[in-house]
Amino acid sequence: MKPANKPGGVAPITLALLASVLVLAAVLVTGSFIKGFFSSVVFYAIVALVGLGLGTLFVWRMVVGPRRASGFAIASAHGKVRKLKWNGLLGYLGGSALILGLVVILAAAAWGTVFGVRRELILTEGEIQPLDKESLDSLYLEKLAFAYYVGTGVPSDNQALVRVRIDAKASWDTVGVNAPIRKGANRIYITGYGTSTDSIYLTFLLKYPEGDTLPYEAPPTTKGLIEDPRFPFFAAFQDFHIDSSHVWPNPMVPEVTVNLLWPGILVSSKRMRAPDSVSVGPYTLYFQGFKYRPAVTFLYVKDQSWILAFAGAGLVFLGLTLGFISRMVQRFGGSS
Amino acid sequence: MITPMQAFSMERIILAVLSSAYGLTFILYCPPQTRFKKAIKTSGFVLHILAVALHTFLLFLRITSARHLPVVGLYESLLFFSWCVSFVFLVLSWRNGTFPYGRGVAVASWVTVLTLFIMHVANLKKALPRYLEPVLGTARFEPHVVLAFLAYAGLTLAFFAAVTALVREETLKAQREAVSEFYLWPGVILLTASLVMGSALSRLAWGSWWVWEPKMIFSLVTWILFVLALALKREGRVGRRAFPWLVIAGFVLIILTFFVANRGVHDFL
Repeated sequence: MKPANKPGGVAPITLALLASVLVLAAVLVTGSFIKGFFSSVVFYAIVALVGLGLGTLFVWRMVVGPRRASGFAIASAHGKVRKLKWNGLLGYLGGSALILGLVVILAAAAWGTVFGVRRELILTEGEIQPLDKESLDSLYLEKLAFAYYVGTGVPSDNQALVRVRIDAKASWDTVGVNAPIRKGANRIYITGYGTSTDSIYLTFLLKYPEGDTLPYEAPPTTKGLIEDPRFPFFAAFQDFHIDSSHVWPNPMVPEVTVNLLWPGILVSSKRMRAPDSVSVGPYTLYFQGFKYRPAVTFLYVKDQSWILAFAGAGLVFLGLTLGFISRMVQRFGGSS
Repeated sequence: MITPMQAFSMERIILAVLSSAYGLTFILYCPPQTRFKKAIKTSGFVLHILAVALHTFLLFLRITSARHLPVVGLYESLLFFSWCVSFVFLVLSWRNGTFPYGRGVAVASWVTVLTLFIMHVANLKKALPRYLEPVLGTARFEPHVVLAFLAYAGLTLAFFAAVTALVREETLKAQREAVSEFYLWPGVILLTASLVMGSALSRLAWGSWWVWEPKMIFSLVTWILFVLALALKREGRVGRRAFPWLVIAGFVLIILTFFVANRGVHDFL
């Protein structure tokens, strides 16, 4: 029988492998530009096909591998099978471990997709939500705290104080970036934070002609906010926006259009960016900023597939290392 | 002790010196046909070692000023990548047939460092150290990125050798492909380790050991192409013919991974 790796020979399986992997690569690259592709049925079908192909390759390699001179170099000459040299055996085992590792990783992905539980929860301070629709487990957010780089408004960390109830056991815990809560197979991650739009209050200082000042707070959509009998105007707000395009010195700068009205007359209209001010007659309105209750995005995960995935990755790594050693020994050790 | 400001202000002059050193290394790596040819090449190699030492000092300065490993943003990434390419070349230069690729390495480092110098002069804002995102403040971040850059360095060297292997002469082709394979193995192993570390980092930060976002997909495809190149290298005529092209395609993907695929969780460039 003609050996598949004879120089000049064209093995159909090599051609098929090359073609199918190139197609897979093209599909993956193209898919990264298509929204929702990696959660579509088509993609799952492709992954299943790849897994099936790799599984078949592994079995085939196990069954016929030692008798053929290919893959990660089993020593052979002129089509005759020779006793495997140790480096050739390493290469063979390496290649097999690599393929098995890939199969295990794909199995882990399938396991995680089918049996894994993932749920995103957005909570504001003082809010509670169930972790899972099918259980009584819950998560309550007490407080979100930020740590900043010294002298800046750039966050270096954020942590949330929460009360977690899992399997009828409740406890106070702190969850931070890269520091999830671990309760058995359950994990709770903090994946983001922002402002709860219904909790925003603009803050102002109003200076009177007499010289004294008073603070005011109001939601950005309020009309007729300032009703102090000494202030003769009504205030209305439009187009509230938080500019977060700069990280320094303040990562979030509020902007709002402030309209000051006399009944029937628009006295002043100014786009204000904290800490701007606007003067109307003897009155001055200082825009201080805004207050809000932070909304925190949590991710609840119950998924043990990572153990299988990292075991597969270990096999892949082992396979490549064995292949490398085998190849280096073959090239420099004078072996076949 | 050097303060962060002092460290940052020293960067520009060192970039200028370093750029000249790499440029001179390149020139010495291309000696004329004289009886001193070998001596000139050797002096080029020695200068390359000195340049890498200076580059290491520059990285130390950057760590002092940025307070983290210089791998955040385009400026720092290029600074670290150019060091990795030269460092990996010098470490693996014991292999017979690798020496000629020193020219490619020197010119790549020269162009990169010169670009960084111009960036430092023309657009200082780009060169300023950036704060580390909270999600990167974990001990898993640095090994992931260092492994990735060292892998990219090895794969870049494999690419240089693969390009030169596109010749008709069979002996020369085989020699150059062997050098490419020699660089490819450690590159792929390091890339694998980097992907595993990245996966561990992703699980810690986002609760998922794999996120389907552009940089991770491109890295996966790159890995697939390089592993395929290694697996098919000795699989008959098709495998041997495909080898250099797969390496070149993989390198093109690295470039795309580095410069284009920066959306999603890897939006740090």
